[in-house]
Amino acid sequence: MPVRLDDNEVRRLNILLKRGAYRSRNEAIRAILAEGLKERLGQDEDVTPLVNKLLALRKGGKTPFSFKTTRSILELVAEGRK
Amino acid sequence: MMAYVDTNVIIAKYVPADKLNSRATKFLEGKDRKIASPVSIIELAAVISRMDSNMEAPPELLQEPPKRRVRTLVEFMIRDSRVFIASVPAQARIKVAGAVLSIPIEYQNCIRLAYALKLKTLDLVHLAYADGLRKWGHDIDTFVTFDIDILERSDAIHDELGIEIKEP
Repeated sequence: MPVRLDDNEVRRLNILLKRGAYRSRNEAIRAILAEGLKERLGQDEDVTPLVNKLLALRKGGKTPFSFKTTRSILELVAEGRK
Repeated sequence: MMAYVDTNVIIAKYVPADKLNSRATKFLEGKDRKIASPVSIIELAAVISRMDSNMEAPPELLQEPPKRRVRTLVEFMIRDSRVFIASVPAQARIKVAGAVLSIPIEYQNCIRLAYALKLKTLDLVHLAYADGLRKWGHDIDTFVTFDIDILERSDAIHDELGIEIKEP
């Protein structure tokens, strides 16, 4: 599937190659496309099956996870508001 | 009526050792209808990310990439706490230093409230969301929080917004 890129896009791809982020333009385009598709299709965002499993554990009387911290919650949330 | 829930109340339910845990749990499992804004999604993600290395969880959750694990826990906490998430579908246009900017309407409200309330930025953003959601038809009458700064300014907030500030 041939893809036409403009000069500016080629120039920016070349910058990524020079930085060593990718070995070839082909690899760069494939990686960037894969990342874009994943984001557009919301694959990272759809966590519903896992959330449902945790909710089922909860419903069954189990604690699905716990945080161990010596700091108070008030402190942890407030530090993000400073 | 409905209560806007601050992030510290939601997260306290999931830290059993915290002294606020039982009050948060009792409130969140109570009958009051509860609402929060996208700000809480950001704050939950930020706090969970900072606590992630101290978490005990089933292997299938620990094996997830950190980004998905955090997203999962945020969504679990919101659903498990039965908190409805909503935002105001409106933007404001403001002119600042010659530039015309399109900004979330809550930001404009924060600028308006800043002097009267003298709170930290995110505290203001939460209150502006609660006010905005109420004006858009959600019957919010209380703002439930453990935040000391907000609790200390409850009278000023009530005068400005007509919303009662309460601890769970």
